[in-house]
Amino acid sequence: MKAGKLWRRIVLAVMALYVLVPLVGVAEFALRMRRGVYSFDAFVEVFGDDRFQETFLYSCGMALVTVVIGVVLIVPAAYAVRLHAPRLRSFVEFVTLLPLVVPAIVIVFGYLRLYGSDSFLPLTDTDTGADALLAFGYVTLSLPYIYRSVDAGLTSMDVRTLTEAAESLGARPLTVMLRVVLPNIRTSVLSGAFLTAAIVLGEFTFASLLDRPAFGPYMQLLGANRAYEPAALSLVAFALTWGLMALIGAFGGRRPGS
Amino acid sequence: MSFLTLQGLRKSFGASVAVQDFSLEAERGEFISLLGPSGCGKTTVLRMIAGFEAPSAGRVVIDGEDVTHLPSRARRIGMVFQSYALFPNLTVEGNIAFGLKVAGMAKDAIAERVKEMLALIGLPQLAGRFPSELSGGQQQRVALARAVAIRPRILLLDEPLSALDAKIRVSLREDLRAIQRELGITAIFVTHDQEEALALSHRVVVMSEGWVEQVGTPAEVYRTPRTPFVATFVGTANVLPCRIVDAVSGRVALGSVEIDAAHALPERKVGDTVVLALRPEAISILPFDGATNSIAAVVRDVTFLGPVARLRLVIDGDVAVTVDLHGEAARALPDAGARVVLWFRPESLQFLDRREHNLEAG
Ligand SMILES: Nc1ncnc2c1ncn2[C@@H]1O[C@H](COP(=O)(O)OP(=O)(O)O)[C@@H](O)[C@H]1O
Ligand SMILES: [Mg+2]
Repeated sequence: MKAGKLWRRIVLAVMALYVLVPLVGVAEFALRMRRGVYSFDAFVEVFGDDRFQETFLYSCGMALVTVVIGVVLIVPAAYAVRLHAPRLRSFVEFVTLLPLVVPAIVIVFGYLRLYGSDSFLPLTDTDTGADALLAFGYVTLSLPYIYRSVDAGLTSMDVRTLTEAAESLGARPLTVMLRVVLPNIRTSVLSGAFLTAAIVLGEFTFASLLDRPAFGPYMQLLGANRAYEPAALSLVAFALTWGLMALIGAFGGRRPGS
Repeated sequence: MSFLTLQGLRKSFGASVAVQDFSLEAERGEFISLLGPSGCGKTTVLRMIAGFEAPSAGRVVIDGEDVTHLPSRARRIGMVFQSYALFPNLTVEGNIAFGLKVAGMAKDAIAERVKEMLALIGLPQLAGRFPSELSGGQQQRVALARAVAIRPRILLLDEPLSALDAKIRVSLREDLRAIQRELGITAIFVTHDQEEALALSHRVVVMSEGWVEQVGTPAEVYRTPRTPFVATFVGTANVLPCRIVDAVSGRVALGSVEIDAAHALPERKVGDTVVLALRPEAISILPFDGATNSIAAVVRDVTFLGPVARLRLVIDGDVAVTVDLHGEAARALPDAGARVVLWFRPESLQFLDRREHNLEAG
């Protein structure tokens, strides 16, 4: 019993060191921009940079659009598979996992060929077109996360019986979706949404190759050209991700109705 | 014209047939049970009435309206599930109000109806609770209130009591019956529990392997079972294969013993095999031989069950017979190995059909 407790502490301590040492190092470095004293100069630089604000807002907008499209597409699909084609579930799950297997670079080159200047649908020629393409790409990337969390949410409720109960009470399919299914998988949808937002905020490959003014390429650009600012920026990005994860935890911990 | 007509319902899933040929006519306000072992097709019949399964053949007619091809939401039925199926995100009040809101009822009318329903199920103090904060029995009451709140034409219940423990099961069963009577609603109740079916129903439909075995009042189904399946599934019965000795007077041979069955059997010939059912409680044990239908038997074992003692015996020709003794008769029980004489009234014998399907339910 005692030995077990000691071991647990040692393992925890090692893990904490593994995670914290680089963070502390980065933080310490970020604070050293002014010679001789610690200061927040690097952070001031970062937050004061117009491009930081522009790219960050752009990526936030992208994250929102991605989440909305993703949820609107995936929730009904996952629900329909469960209700009408349960045998297809493992196949659908496999398909949704493909974006994790196919590298983003392959997907984006596919897009450039399909939707490039000399294709039948030259989306990349206009900003709106390229934005749309990026959003669709992000929806693809978010598939595994949203689908998995939605499917887990659906597993935790008796989808078929609740649907039938609602139908027997006169509800149409849309009513069933909005009043019965969604409220009961709200926490799962939110956690998938926050995960997606965290990924979209830092995504580089798609944004860079489609030449979009997103936060990922900006971070890369800054990292290649400056010393202290990238350290500050990575702390900011880390805090953001951490904040989103905390939100997942907060929503995940709340029981429906309570 | 009956209120609910099911006509030749059949349902196959791929190559397997869950319901073979189901016909039933129910009167308004009637309480009908579908009784049978697990997998015999009860739920499938109920789901065809509810509109959750499309019949492979046959029709569902409610109050003169053919609803066979209507979606569930347009059928105006109330459904109660074994698993309660309350909406976890809604309170008791919200659950009961669900169907009323969907129907676009006015707010104060909804509040009124919800209050009325809560009083009906005797849980007015729980309006604000969530389903996860209720016991199983309470959840099922709320589910019942939710189903009847929309004033459905028919109430469908799929083993609503099976998930509850024994005490609650009996008390909720009685409340269910009282509520059904009070509302005068036509109810179809699915169960595999014969006691439930007998206690609740005006009529019982006994099913086996997708077929209707018999339709009748609880007393009819119990006293005059028509098939070996019904005789043994509803209560306990000795199913005795006999040979006809005299078709006119109704004498048959059970092994080497001749007995009087008190039924004329005009359509049978001497030597035909017939199957008779005899309830264990219809048999007495006599100290002496001689009366009509008295058969020598050897006691194999005796089980004391409180109000009843159950004896297993063997008569000539290795035919096993079960006998239940109550009251006075159970005071002095024979020992295993004892030689005794069995006696029963000829009227207690019930002739069984070979399995006879396509029964027309009246
Ligand atoms: N959706 C389905 N797909 C395939 N077979 C089914 C389906 N539903 C029921 N069955 C089969 O039909 C038969 C009757 O089932 P059911 O009506 O649920 O029986 P019960 O309610 O009497 O236990 C069973 O053999 C069952 O396996
Ligand atoms: Mg069933």
